[in-house]
Amino acid sequence: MNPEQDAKKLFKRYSDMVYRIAISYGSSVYFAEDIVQEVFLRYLKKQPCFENDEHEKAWFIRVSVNCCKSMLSSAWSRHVCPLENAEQLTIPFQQPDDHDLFEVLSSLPPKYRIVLYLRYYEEYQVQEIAALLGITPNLASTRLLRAKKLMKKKLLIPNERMGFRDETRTI
Amino acid sequence: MKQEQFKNVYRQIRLTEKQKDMIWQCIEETSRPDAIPKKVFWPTRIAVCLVILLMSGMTVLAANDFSLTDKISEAMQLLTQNKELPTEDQKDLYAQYGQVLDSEIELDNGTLKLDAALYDQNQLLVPFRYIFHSDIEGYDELTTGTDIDQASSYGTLCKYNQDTDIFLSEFSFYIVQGSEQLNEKTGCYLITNPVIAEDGTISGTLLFFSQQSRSFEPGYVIQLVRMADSETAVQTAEETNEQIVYKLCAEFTLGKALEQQELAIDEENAAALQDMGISVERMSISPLSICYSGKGTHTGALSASVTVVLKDGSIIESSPNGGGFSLSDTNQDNTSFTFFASKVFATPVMIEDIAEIHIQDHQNADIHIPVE
Repeated sequence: MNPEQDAKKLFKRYSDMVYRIAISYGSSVYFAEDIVQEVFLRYLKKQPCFENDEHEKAWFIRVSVNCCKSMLSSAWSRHVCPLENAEQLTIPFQQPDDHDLFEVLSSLPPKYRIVLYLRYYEEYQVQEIAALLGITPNLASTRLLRAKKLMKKKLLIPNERMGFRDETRTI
Repeated sequence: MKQEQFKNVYRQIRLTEKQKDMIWQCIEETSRPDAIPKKVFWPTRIAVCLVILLMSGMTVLAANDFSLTDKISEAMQLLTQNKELPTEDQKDLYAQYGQVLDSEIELDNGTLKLDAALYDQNQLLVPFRYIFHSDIEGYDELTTGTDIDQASSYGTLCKYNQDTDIFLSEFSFYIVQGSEQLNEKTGCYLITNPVIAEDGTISGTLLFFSQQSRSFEPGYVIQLVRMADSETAVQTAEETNEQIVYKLCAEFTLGKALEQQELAIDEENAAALQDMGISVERMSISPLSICYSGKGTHTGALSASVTVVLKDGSIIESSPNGGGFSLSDTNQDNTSFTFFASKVFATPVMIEDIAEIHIQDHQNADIHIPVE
């Protein structure tokens, strides 16, 4: 099988996962589409060899996370809508409750959204999440706890939209 | 919240077949060999001369611990992903406009040393070194030449990732002019040299960018600030709705700026740009980048390919890193906006060597703006 056929097969298998990770980092569908494209271009460029399916999946998660971080910290992210504007997303949820829950999720900082996604959707353990994100297990655990606490707080006070912290500074 | 409910929400986040087809088509088009950006052509004899010049200069460089030109050259290569050796013109440029910095930021596991700076109207390049605290576990095991990408995610290198993560997420960067706080916030892009240097030092480059034309000026101060005691401070602030306290960690004053030249856009080119969806009010170039601003009706026009055509006919593409655009005064569907856009060149270029700026988009726009 040539690299492009391989990539097509992997695109079918992982494109939705990469898309979900990108949505966890940004709030724009366009951002997420760009990330999916970039991740598979990196695959075609590097053509890594995988030891097994888990290794393959972990590679796609790690590269997706790296691409998201790079793009969000690059100048190109400047045209992406602010993260608190979750309504800019056009994901057709089946139930209003699902949409509300996603709004609450979207109001969390990306570093919390991604640990929640990896823990509760992909069902990775804290050690594995740490390895995938390139952080220490302690930090992964702290983020997971804080993310859960914030979610709980937001779900208890449904009318309060939690945006990002006030950037007003006092030096 | 139950896990199943959480999963159900995420299950619904998926690409439609139409999106998949569109993305795959883009991947195929971009990955075609003829779609790979052309490399900048430098005559072989110049490259040979450079190697000789570089070798003859090695004795001098070896005797000097810190070479401003080397630091900026390395940072520029990382930024532009261009492995070409710097030309004599480029080295002169770095020596003339680069400045030595002496700023240090203490992070949790190491010290971030800001070594130098080079900037133009919109981009500020800062080569850095990251030196682990010597009491970090596994410090002695860091070996010169280790490829960071191939190293384990656990262990000492993980602590570097942790610190850079904190730097990018918890630090803010401001431009200050004298006693007046401009409060212009900038963004930051961090690129790490994948190979560990001597004594376990990691090097890399920071690219600060502003969203406005000519935001970096000689004499302006760049401040790097971090939330004080972030974990507890944020938590307290979230609970009490108080302001978050920030701590000034480093600052430096900008020296000489790279030369900048305004470009005139004639009626024909203005009309062609208008057809693309933008009305450019101002366009300027520096050896590092091109910036243009104005009003627009179609955001896709801001993703058009912008290349530099030199007088010798060679072409310089835009760098994959840096540059971008910001929008303001947008209406609901982004069909009316004010924009500021910039693109970093794949290699620094002398303004006097540029013949024209070439803009192309997917809708057959083919615009040539002469550089007089």
